[in-house]
Amino acid sequence: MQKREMRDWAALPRDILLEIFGRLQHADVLRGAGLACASWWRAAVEEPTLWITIDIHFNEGDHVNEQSWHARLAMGRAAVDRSAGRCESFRGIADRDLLAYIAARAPSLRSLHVTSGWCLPEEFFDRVVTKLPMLERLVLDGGHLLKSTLIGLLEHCPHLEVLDAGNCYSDKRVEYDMLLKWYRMLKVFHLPRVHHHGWYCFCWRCAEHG
Amino acid sequence: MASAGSGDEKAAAAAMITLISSDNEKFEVTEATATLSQTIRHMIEDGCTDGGVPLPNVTSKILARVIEYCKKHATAAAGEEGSSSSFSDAAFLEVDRAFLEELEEFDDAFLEVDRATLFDLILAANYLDIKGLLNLTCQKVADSVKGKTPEQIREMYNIVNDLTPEEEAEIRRETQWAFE
Repeated sequence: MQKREMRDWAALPRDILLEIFGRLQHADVLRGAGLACASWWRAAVEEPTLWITIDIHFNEGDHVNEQSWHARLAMGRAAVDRSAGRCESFRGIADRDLLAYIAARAPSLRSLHVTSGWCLPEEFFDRVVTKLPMLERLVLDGGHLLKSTLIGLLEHCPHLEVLDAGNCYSDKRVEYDMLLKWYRMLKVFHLPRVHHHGWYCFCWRCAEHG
Repeated sequence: MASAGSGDEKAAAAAMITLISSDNEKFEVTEATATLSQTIRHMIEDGCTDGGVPLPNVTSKILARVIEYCKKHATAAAGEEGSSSSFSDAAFLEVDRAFLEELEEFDDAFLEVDRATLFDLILAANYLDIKGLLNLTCQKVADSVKGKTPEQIREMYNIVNDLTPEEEAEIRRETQWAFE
């Protein structure tokens, strides 16, 4: 029988490891390859360029339960940490705490795509809405977008070009002249619909705290 | 300069480069094949290929495989250049598509190697700076670890978990989910 030749994969040069990690989903780097050994871990932790465009959204077919949901939120935080302030794009689920975390640690954020229901209470306004000065693109897959948040975003994100909240609901109607101004300002603008019969949020945070 | 002859098919065909592996085996290749390697391209441009190009980091076994890859892809590159002049010719595009499919099949078959060979190919592609081959081989590794746990990856690549207790603790703090 032929003896199997061995190679020291742990000793792969850093730039090659980064080539490989760059071809993986962030979730796979965070919980798989990036934990195999010390040198692979360091490559995954010490290289901010790997984390400039963060995507930690679930894959189609992923089993989603409360545990995996919280795990993803933790992955989002870890990914933002590893970007060392250089994250420019984030796509994935995000609750109010993760949004505040991103806003505080990603001053260069240009694109934000929240794939979970948007739920940002008034008291988070100053921790999120006013902290995204470079934002160019905001895509919300659904949820509840307060009118005050909407106005705040358009006021505090001077570079905003795309605001897609077409699948969201809002609490109050926006005045006509304000709308006209926004349509002129933005390249893509999908306004949230206004709900007429009250709103119940089903995000984990709202579910937990009633 | 030798590369100036690339427009003239006869001159290009005549320009041969000798590559010398770490175990002293000599390989004669065309300049078009050799210059898929940026490292060798620079050597040719600097005019330091007389008497052969020694490649002390690449064994004859791996060099033979690398040359096999470069030959195939050099033909592809030449085909692309040729096709751009008659871009409107639908029949030509059809031929191109067939060739690209053939190239894909070649790449798939090329990657049917054991892990040690894959490792050596990656290092050779990196050293010789052959972008296509590096992409191909790194993608193969990436595909193989996709969705795998650290333990599965260690087993697959014979990697010893040498994380210190301090590092493990740091990981645990940051990434509880990995230990669910």
